[in-house]
Amino acid sequence: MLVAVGIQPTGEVAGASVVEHKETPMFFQLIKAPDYIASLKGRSFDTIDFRSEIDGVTGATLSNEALAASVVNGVTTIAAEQFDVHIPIPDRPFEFGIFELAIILLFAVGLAARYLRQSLREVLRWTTQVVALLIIGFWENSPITLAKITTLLSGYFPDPRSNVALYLLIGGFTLSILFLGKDIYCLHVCPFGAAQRFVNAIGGKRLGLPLWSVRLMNQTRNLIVLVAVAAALARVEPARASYEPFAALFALKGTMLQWVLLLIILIVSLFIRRPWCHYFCPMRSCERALLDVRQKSTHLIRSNT
Amino acid sequence: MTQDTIRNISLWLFFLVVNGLIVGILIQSFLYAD
Repeated sequence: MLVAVGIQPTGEVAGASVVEHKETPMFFQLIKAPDYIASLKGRSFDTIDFRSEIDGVTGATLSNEALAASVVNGVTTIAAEQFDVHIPIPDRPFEFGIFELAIILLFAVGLAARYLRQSLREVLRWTTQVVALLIIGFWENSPITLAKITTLLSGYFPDPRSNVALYLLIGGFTLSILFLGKDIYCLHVCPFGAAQRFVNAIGGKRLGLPLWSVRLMNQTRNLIVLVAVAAALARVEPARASYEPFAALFALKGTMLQWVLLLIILIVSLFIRRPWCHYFCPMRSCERALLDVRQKSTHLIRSNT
Repeated sequence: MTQDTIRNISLWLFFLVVNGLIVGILIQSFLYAD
C-alpha cells in the first residue's frame, strides 16, 4: 500500500491519500480509510498520539493496520526531515482481548470434544458454532481465507503483536491437523461452516452426493485454489486469491457475484450438509495437503524406526 | 426422466454455476488490479 501524505509548512496534516494498493476492491471497501484520513486533517503532527492512532484504526483487516502505519510513517518521516522534529513511537503491546480468548476456547473445546461421548459432543459442537458465528463471524469477520494463507505463503508475516488472532487461527488449524489428524478449525471454529450448519438444521435434509460428483468437485476445487494462489503469488498480490463469500454474509459487503454465490450456498445448505465446506472451500484443499504431509511424515518416521 | 437423472442434472448445474461464479469472482478480482 502506497500512501501520499501532505503536511502544511505550519506543521498541520494537509491530507493523505491511498495512491496505490494491492487489495481486492471488496477488501479495500472494508478499510476505514476516508474516516481515518479525515480525522487527521488539520491536526498538528506534534499533537498526534500515533500509538493510539494506529490502535484506533486497526480492525479485523490487515489493511487497516497497513494504512495507519503508512500514514504514521509518512508523517513522522516528514516531521523528522523537514521540521527536525523526531516523534517517538512506543513499542506496541500484544493485542489480546475477548476475540483472541474466544479462539483459544473454541480450539480447546473442539479438542476436548473428541474425548467425550457423542451426545455431549453434539451439545459442545452447537455451542462452539454459536460462539464462532457470533464472534468470529459477525463481530470480527475474521475467518481464515485463502488471502491470509497466500499472504503467509508469499513470505510476508504480519506483526504478531497486532495479529494474535490470525496466528492463533492459522496455528490452531495447522497444528491440529498435523499432530492430531483432525481439523478442529473447520468443525468448531469456522463461522461460515456454522452458518451452513444452522441453515441445514432449518432445512432438515441431508442428501448424500454420488462419489463421482464428490471427486469432480474436489479436483476442480484443488485446481482453482492452485491457480488462484499461483497467480496471486506471481503478481505479489496475495489478497486477490480469495473468492470466499464470507464478507458478504458477515460484513454485508461483496460484489454481485459474491452475493449470488452466498445465496446459492445458503439455499443448497438446506438440503446438503455444509456444501461450501465439503466441495468449494479452499481450506479443504489446505486440510488435504496438511493431512498428506502428516501421512508422509508418519510413514517416514515409522520406516526409520 | 428417472430420479437419478434429475439428481445428476441438478448436481451438474450446481457444480457448474458455483464454480462459474468462483472463477468469475477471481477473474474480476485479478482484472480489477489494473
